[in-house]
Amino acid sequence: MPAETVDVMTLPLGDEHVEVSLLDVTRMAETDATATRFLTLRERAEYARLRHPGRRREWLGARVCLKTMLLRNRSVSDPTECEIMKDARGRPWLSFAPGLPGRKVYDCSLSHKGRFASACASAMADRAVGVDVEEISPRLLRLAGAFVGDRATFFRSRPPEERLALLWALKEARAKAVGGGIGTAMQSVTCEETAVGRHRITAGDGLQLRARHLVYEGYIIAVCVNDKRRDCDNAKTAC
Amino acid sequence: MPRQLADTEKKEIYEHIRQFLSDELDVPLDDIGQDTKIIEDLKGDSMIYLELVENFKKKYDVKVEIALIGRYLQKHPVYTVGQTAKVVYDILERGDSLLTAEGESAGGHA
Repeated sequence: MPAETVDVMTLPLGDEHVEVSLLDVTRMAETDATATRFLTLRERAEYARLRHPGRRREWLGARVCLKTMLLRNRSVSDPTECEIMKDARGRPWLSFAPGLPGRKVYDCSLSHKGRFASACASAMADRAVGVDVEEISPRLLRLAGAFVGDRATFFRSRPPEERLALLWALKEARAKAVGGGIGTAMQSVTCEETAVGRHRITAGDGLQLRARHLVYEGYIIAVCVNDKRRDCDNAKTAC
Repeated sequence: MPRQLADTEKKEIYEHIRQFLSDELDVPLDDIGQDTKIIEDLKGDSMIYLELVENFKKKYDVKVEIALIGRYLQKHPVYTVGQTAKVVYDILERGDSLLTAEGESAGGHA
């Protein structure tokens, strides 16, 4: 099966240095064949350890997204020429096979939720990225109390579940871009939509990051960019 | 107000967490143990932690700010059910003083 046949979409959330892609994992046929085609031996061993079938599909889908971007921008000629590793805090980073021409991707982020898996890649060495996919659902309404410390200004009014899904997606994407985990996503932030779909996120520590989002088939996809890479553990070592 | 949970209360909380995860993630209760990883093994997501915390805050009438819990989780990352139970014990026992012993006040970074 050619790697290029997987239906990965490029999303208009990036810029000349940041790429974002999305895959509907429910349309990913022949999962095991896809794993064999896209994953290195070590990645396949990790894939085999995942017990939940849905989790296996999402996990694979996010890696297919990222590796398809690398194939398209010619960072690799085969998806097994690079490996997606994780640091001690669970943040992904890319390891390339020796002997490849100049690196075109320095940082990456993965996300999956329900039907969709997404990946984001940065082509600048000092720019960290975070991507998050959230489903717009009433589930968020139960958690409204967890957002009372946040301040958000959006361009148009949105139903409460969409507003909360957007806020959480922005906070999660930000947490990934600064290298934090769930604890970072729980921090209070101020989100200001500076243009339609474009945001400025400021946290209590004063760090100000930019983000973008779009709504696609009932899901929010948010991307956050950390230009200074101030808090990213991978800044000098991993990427 | 800081309090000390009895072993029976801790056991009850642990079982409540297992039941919550079983119900929310549609996983058999017997598949959930101390070392089970919530995201990798149960297909949970980051929001499930938020839901768990909010659930226990309501159940035990604890007023700790979510941002304070977030700072605590930055220092004590959780992956497994057992680690999550430990965090819930700490939240209920220490309340707003969650980070005081670690050199941080409830109001912000030290």
